[in-house]
Amino acid sequence: MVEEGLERHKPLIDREICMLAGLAFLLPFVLPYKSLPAEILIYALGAVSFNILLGYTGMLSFGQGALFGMGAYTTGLLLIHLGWHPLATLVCASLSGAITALVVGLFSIQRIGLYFVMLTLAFNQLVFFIAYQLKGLTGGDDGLLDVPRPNLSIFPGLQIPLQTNLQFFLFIWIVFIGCIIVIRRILCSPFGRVLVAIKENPERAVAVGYNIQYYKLTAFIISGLFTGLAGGLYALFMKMVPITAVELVTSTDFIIMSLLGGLGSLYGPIIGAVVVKIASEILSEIWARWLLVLGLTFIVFMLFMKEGIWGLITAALEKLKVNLSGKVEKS
Amino acid sequence: MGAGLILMQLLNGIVLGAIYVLIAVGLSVVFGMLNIINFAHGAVYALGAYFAFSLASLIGAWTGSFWIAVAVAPLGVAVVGAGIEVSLLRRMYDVVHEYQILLTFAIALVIQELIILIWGPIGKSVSMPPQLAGVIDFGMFTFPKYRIFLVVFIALVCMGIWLFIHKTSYGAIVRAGTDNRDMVNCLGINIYRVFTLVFSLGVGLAGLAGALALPMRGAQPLMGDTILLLCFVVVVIGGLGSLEGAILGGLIVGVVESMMILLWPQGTMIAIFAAMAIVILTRPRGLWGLR
Amino acid sequence: MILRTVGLTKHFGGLTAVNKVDLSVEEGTIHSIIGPNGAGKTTLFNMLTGEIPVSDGEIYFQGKKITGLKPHQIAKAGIGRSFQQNRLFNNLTVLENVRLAVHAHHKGHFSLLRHFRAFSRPVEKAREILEELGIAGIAAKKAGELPHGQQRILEVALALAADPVLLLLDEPTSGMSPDDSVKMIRLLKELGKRLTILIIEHNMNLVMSISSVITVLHQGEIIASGSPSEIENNEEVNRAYLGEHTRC
Repeated sequence: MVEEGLERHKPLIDREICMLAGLAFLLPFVLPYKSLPAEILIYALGAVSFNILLGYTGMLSFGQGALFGMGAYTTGLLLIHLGWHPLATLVCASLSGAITALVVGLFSIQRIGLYFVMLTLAFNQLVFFIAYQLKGLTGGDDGLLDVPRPNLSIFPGLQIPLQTNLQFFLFIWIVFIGCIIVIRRILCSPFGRVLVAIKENPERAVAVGYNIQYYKLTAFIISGLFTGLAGGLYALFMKMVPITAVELVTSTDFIIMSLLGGLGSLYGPIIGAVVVKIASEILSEIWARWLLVLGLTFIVFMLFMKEGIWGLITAALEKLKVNLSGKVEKS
Repeated sequence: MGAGLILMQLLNGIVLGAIYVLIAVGLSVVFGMLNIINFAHGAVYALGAYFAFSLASLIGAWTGSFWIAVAVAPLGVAVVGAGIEVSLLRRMYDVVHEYQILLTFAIALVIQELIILIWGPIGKSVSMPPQLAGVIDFGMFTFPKYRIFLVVFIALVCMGIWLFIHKTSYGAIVRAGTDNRDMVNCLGINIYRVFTLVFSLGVGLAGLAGALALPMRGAQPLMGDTILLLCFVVVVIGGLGSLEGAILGGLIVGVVESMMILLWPQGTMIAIFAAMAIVILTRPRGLWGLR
Repeated sequence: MILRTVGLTKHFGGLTAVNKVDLSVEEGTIHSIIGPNGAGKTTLFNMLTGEIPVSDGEIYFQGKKITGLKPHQIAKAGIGRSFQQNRLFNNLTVLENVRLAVHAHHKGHFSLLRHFRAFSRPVEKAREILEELGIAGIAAKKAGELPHGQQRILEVALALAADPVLLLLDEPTSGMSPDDSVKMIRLLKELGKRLTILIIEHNMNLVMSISSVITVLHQGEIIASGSPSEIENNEEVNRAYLGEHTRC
């Protein structure tokens, strides 16, 4: 991948993306749980968006639930009350996620380290309690019920149905792959490289001439844009918005997925989402205390495998490559 | 709204605040010394309550059983804390901060699940210790004896901690470590042993809070969740790392929470977390913190 | 005169770290600031680069006032700096370190939707800098894995990225082996031919051999300024330095 010390130019769509799209496409055909594949991709998008902040910029945000929830409520409310086109509601969900991120980010980046973490946490709690109290609008504790999932009318006469699990999955799949293509490009852009520089050494990033506050804030907004979109998709998926969507637990879900999958790459959080979601379906049927297993796994990864599952996979592939090339040389 | 009601809520606020103080003191000292936010602090609070429950029911109907439970349960929690520090946290001191926070978060998850595994998902409760059952009549209102005891007892514990930190040589080391970790190292003191002590002390105090809260609020597996977030607010308002700040912050949050129930219950949490954000943004060292 | 300070002062609480310093740096010189520990050298530097706010006084760069500007604005204005302790992007390659630093001053550094390799100018420029400093051979190595001497040179490379007219170097040879120091001295002499360099330095060898002007700072104040030979024979300087040496 490295050529004379720099990553090569990657076209928007290449083998990597095709492999990802292919593997993701297989999900509904290999998983016995019918609605799970769509949910996995929604969470994967949320986790990838979270990782733009932690894995790429070095900012641990506990506020992602607020962004996800804002997106979900936006889509839900627009569908219920105004009956908008689903795609239009998703655009608005992205925007509301981005605007929330702008506000949260604007304040949070004023502080660094533990104070930054505490601020994002405070904002998540604020948004949660506001949503909780606005019962008339959000349904409060009961959730926002009866969100319709209308068909997609592309132009008069052509309607794409989203009703069955497979139909809905295909829709999510297209959106997901589209988002990953864009996010991957953003992370390889000059802007994305500056984010990595900020994570590596913020003081130096400033000293070489970057106004890192702008970059941090923009990272927040981009994360909010895609997290909001994931939230909007979630409302369509659930046909409701549970209060948990905006709760701290959603933030921590994304954190757990990203860490288990691996913070160092774009694909880590996707794998993390796949593993955590499947494990929770399977294990929770076998043993109600499966979270104990998750917690212990999490600790083991933190202590011994900070690169996450993706790190293990790439290490294994490297080894395989070395072994294979060794054999070729011998023969 | 009668004066009696207001006074009673004020007292309730102080009781609530006293419990926050006990939890927040540990959280704050651990932050000051080890420089981590301990997300497992709520879970060990719950653990204290469950330890106390088991001890009290093990000893049985004897009138002194609760007191033994209150005395022993925190020690058990402190031992758990020392184990966590030695076996897990210590491996993380030289990695990025974020990982430590996330590690304590995972520890919290494991402790909570273990509690459910051992004691079941449904909460437990104990009866009031007979010496403190009943109420005191203040004329305008009556107030449970146990709550009065709680405030007095916690005040004594805080005084004890203050004396420990300010008047003993070990306390001097802790104070020095909060100000300047390297200096303690230079003095030839094994900083890790101090870390273990401080962490298990902090965690033990949370366990004590859980044990003390047991007769009043019972024990539930997730009882630590909400209270942990509120104690973050307490610590931030008081000033991260400061004992006096934790006491001040705990009382403020407790009283505000109780009074808001009379004024505008829906806005309570919104106001509290807004206050947290405002303090971090305008006065990050907190109301008391000197740094 | 490329850089001038007027009455530059910094108080930390009750302590005055830098006291009414009037410093003039002539264009095309290698100008060193020396002084015993705690003389206020790094504080002075940090004020020049906007890292810490000034308590009093003004800073003029190329005749324009730059007091109060943010560090990234000062970098953009044409002042590059290196740090006493290496501050590199440790997990990135040497070339990427320099490319990032260069790109900050080229078009498209905020571009979101184009691949960074689509901008070839910063990459070329980064390669030129590595060539000039003689470290092109390690372009693909990670910065954090380099030996200390090469990291110090990379520090200078990052400072050069902005195409500065003035280079501020904070102890460029700190922690270097004698061999590496010699390399660095040669390098700085070479750079001195095309830009103005202001150096903070402890290493007397380096200061005496490359400086055209030396300013001596003691307890936050300038006690002498002149050519190396003038400074060598200055009574007050010797006293300040001897005091320092006997204390150590």
